[in-house]
Amino acid sequence: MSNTHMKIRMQRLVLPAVIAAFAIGAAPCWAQVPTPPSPPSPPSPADAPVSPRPPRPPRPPRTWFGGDHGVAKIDTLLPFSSNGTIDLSLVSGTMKVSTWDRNQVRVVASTTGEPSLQLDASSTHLTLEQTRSGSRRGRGDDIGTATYDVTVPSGTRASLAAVSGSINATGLRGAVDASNVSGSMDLRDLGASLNVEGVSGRITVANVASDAHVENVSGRVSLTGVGGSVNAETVSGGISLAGVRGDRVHVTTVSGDIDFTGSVPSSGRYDFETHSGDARLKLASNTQATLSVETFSGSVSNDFPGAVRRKNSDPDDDSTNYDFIINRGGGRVRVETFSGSVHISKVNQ
Amino acid sequence: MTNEEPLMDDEQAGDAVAKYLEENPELLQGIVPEHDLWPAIESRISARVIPMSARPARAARRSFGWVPMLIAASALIAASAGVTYVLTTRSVLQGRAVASNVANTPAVIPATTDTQSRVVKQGETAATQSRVGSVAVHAADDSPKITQHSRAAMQLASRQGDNDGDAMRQTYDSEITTLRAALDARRGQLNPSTVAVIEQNLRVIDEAISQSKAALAKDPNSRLLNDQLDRTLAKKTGLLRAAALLPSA
Repeated sequence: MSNTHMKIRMQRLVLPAVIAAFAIGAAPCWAQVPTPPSPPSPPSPADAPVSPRPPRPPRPPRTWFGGDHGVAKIDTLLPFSSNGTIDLSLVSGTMKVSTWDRNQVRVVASTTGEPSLQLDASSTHLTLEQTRSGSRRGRGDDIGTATYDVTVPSGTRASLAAVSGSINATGLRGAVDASNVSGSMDLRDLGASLNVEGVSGRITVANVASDAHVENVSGRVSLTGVGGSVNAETVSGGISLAGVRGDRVHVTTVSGDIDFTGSVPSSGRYDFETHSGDARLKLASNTQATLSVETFSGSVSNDFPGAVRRKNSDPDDDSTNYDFIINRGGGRVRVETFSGSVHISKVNQ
Repeated sequence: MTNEEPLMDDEQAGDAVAKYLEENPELLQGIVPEHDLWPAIESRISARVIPMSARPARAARRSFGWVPMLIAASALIAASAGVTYVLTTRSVLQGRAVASNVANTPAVIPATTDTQSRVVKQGETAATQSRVGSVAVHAADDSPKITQHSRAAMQLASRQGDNDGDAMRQTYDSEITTLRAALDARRGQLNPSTVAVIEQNLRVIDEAISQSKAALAKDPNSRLLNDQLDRTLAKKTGLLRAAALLPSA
């Protein structure tokens, strides 16, 4: 084939390829940027479709309880996807979420105050809330105390919120997002990531397969058996961790005490920070880690047998700064306090 | 015709057809076209024939040469960039529109250095995109994210040096003042016991801040003390912001 023909063939191939490449490149821009829904325009003869559109798939049936004002009691069993989403919220009361092996959701809810419960459910999403009578109807503040008992397929993702109530959830395999102001939260046997935010209530987390992020103000935080990374923060609430297996741990508080019990993986990076609270690290006997401990005015003590203590002196720095090398080191642990004391000890596991 | 009738030979069949046509003479008239087709046929068969060798093939090819292709590619690049710009701008404007609808969200843009302003605006964007105006129960959802944005940005700024560190703390002070005002404005809407918890913890934080500042006055270069102070300031900012976003009682 001559060079001229080769050029012609190349030109035939390159131009469509260039156009296709830009079309492909521009498509994600259209896909990623949300555009506001435009109001439907009135049909006109000019807008008549050239070819008949395929029929739309039927919308999943929805279930609605509560109308505009809410109801006082709900007791229902509905079909539900194995990996659907629930969104539960209440102002005052108790919320319990558990799981079963059915593709159904069971909702048993009631309130002692004015009828204020509203449920909206499709086969993949369920919302149950305790509406505020004052804001909805402009009268009264008697929202009462609500009780939710919801059973869902184990793969369900959950968003759980309360103002002044308790939240209990167990067995969920989907991600869990929970928030509360003054009530307690107890979240157990979770298969995906967990995000918890509170103010004054106690937060208890046990057996989480993935990452856990917990924030509280004055309430105590207890984390046990977390398989992923941990991020725990409080102002005055104490924080205790046990059986953490993730590579990253970050614990910070202002005046709360920190209690850590367990081991540190060789690839682990664990940080503990407190201003005036104490930090107590009870390390498993087989722990291999290097602990960097720094405090301004707190005391440092070590009961771990065999730990090598090495003082890092800086003439311009008044703080106390030690490294403790345990079993020849491995994982890295950093502890910082202002006035809180640091105590390292061994626990047999 | 039935199976019992004898088959006709060719001669008999021809006679039968002739007889049938005699009985139905309209079949012999044929089909007359609605108009004369000949002029169109004549014009087509008398059209000028162009020999294949005379086609300006190379000239036509040149219209798709490299130069026009590059021009087309440049136009596509410009179009693609334009689309991206327009869409991105629209997205940002939508975000601002959402932000403008959020009520009671403190907008904190202290007048400091450019770096500081950018730092705080990052946190502010996250704050204003929170769902304060939606169902109150969910109001606290975004506050930790806001806190993380502000804290990370401010701690990043604090590492720029002492002067920037001071400016960063001024930024913290400014944000704390604004958030404190926002909390005070909402005090009547919040549960008194929750407010008491917040106030108590703010006092804990203030005590820690004053301790850190006092220690820093004696040892201003201490990394530990600077980190402690920054962390505590960030904690106070985060607590105030979370408190300002708390759901009503």
